[in-house]
Amino acid sequence: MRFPWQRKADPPPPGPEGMVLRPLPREDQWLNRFHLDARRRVRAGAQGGHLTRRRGQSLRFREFTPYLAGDDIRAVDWRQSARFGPDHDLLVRRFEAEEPLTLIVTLDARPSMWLPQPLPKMQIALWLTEALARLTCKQGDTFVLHQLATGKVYPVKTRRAADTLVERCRLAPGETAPVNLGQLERTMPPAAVWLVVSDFYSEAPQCHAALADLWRRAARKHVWRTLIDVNAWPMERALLGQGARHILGPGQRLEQPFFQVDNGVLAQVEQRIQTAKHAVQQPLQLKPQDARTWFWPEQSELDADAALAFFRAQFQQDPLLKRLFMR
Amino acid sequence: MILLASILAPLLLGLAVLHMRKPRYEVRRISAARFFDDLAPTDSALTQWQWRNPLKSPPFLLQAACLILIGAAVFSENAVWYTVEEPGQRRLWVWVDTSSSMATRINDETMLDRVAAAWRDQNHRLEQQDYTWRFRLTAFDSTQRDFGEDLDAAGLSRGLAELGARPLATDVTLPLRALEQTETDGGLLLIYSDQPAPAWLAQLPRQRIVWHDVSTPVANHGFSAVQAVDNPFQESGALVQVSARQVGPAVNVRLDMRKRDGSWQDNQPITFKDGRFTTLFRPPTPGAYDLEIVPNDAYPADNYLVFQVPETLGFSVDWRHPNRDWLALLGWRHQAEGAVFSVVSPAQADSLPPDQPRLIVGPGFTSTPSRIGHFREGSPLLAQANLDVAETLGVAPVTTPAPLLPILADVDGRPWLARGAHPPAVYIAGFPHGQGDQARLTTLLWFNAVQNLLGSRATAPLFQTTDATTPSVETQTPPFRLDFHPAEGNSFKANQSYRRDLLDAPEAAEATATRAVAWWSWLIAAALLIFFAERVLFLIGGPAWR
Repeated sequence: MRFPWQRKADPPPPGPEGMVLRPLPREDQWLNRFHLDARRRVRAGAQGGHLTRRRGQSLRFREFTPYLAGDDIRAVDWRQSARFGPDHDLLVRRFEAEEPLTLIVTLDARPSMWLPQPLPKMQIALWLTEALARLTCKQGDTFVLHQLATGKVYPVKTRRAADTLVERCRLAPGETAPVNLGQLERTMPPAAVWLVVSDFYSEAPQCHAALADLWRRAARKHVWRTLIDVNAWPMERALLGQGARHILGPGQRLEQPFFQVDNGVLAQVEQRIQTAKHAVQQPLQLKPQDARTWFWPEQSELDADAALAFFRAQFQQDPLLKRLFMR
Repeated sequence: MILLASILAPLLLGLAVLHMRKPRYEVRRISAARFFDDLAPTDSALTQWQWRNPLKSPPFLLQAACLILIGAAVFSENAVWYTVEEPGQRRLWVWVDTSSSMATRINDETMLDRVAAAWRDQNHRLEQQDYTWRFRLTAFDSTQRDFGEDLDAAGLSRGLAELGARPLATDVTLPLRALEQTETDGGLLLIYSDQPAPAWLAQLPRQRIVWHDVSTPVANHGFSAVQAVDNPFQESGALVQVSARQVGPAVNVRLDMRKRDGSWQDNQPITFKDGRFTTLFRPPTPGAYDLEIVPNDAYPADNYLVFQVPETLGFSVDWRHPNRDWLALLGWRHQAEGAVFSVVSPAQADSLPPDQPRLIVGPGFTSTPSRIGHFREGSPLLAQANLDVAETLGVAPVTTPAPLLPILADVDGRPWLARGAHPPAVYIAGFPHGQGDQARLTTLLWFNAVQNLLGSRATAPLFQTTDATTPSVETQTPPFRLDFHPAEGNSFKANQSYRRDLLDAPEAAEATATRAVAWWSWLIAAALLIFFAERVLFLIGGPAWR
């Protein structure tokens, strides 16, 4: 039996005011090991790759191109030009342009990301952002945090700044708030890496369209676009159980959301979730290796240590993240 | 009570059934809630029969508690608990005697006027106390009448002004009985009366009564008894015995007697001896008679009487015995209908109606002496009889008529006297007989037997007295109803109060007093509180409280 005045002691609706997101522990030996492990690997078929370019001199050959007026005469490969004969233009050696890595993480902070209460998606997203920021700063690259709804962009270049990312995580104004991608597009350099972290529950068509538009324009700038789908449905399914339920949550339109939950209902809801996610992701034309889904454990309760262990396991086993930090 | 139980039990059961079919929804907050929107709740989700549902339902527990409390309140209607009354508020139960003697007038004021004056004085003293007093007013005479249970001083004064003396006697035990019957201690009792304080007041365990005797000694004279008497030596029969008494200093008074139609009147001076006076007078004819003691005095109710002499005053006998000498000698009226008793021989006794009183006269005495073999000592039939003389008389050889019991019989069981109770019957061996002691004895036995039969007769009263059911005087048309309660006229007595003043009672100075509060009021209050809480929670408490 719970009295109305006891509600104040219960967790309030999700959001920064009511929920304290825990920062990633400073102890990051496991993160160092992950980095070392990733660095040991070499990208196969580096053609077109633009992930690990560094500042300074590059010795990596890219292609031969016909000489154009204005090219440095020292770049002409005289031997290859002679092989093709005088009927052809001189061939000029082209090398990989070395640019600093810019890792952009777009964080979806809509209310649905602040659930479920045992392990909010936003908590995992924060830890992921912090871990990526630390690794990026460790390599001397640039990390940029972008909030999907507010559109604000926070560049992070130092470890100290990476440790304060938790303060940047703010609740989005609403479940149907429009996405703001203008500042991100202006900030996004060519050949950057763009990682979108969301549960893709939003059903606002204008949001889908805006994201798909930027997604296509980023492709033209050779931006490597990836996404991580945080899927907490297994945990919420365990949380629901079966029986008479009064189901509350963001984006709900029913005034009397009372349901008799059984396996059939759960299957229908799961199908609707997949349909909603597909509606968002399909216009992005993702390659399978550029999209990952993190499934929550099928438990109704999870303590803090177990939540952190779950995150570490997901992070360390994720091949997409390893690819980010390969040489 | 069974009716109430039969109402509440189905209500409780219905409530449980109502909640059994009402599913208890567990609240879940999830991010995927929006995907349930298109799944409309089905009918099956709205009803879910489960035995455990009521126990999991807070509204059911509150509603059931409310019903149970109401039921408990009904069943504990008479149960009380005692709680401490607020300091500064005291309760006083004022009893006022309104019997006939309260109309006694001394120095132009009645006893009730004195009560009002005494209360004004008492209230003036109470107003100087720090307490707030609440009063209850009850009048008593031969019965008890309440005039308000929660009065202030002004209300009590108004109630006192409305009181008047009633033509009834005083039952001084009424306050005590009321005190015993009430389940509360009722605070203090202040009793105003013109009667002296009863002795039992001092034995009360809680000592909460103040008895204020407002009387002062005053002389009074008046009638104390009036009754018709039968004289078997007088054939006319109709005699009225008038008794009067006097308390206090002697004064010269006169008894005036007159027939209401003016056809007869008489008077005689009254001389009290040791405060008492008795006289007999013979009403010349049936009818209404007025008797008055003049001059009047402080208590007038006992100075005037009116009564009706009926046509049948006196007595007649049904003389069937063949020997009619004594009928002529005594001058009795022979009348079969309405006769007080019948005079018969043993052989005639069986012909009488079974409930007719009878005097059975035997064949007479013989000259052969007989020895007494049995006698019942103390029997009124043998009053002042000399039994030695009886042995000089012989008894005729007859057996005692059944079912009479012998009172005086010889050694052979032959009776001189025998007596029966149902119907009243006396057997005597013969009419008065002989000379000297024998004549005296036989005559004595004869008149003892006649007195015994006359005494068994219920004599009708000459008038009625007022009582609680008819507390009004009627002196104009018979049957007359008089305010004639001799105990009310004893006005020359010492004033005897018990604590006289309320503030003499130690309880009046106590800082706290207790009053009774019934359980049911608290139970109803708790039920209302729970009902109110349940309704508020229903409105603001969310789905779990609906």
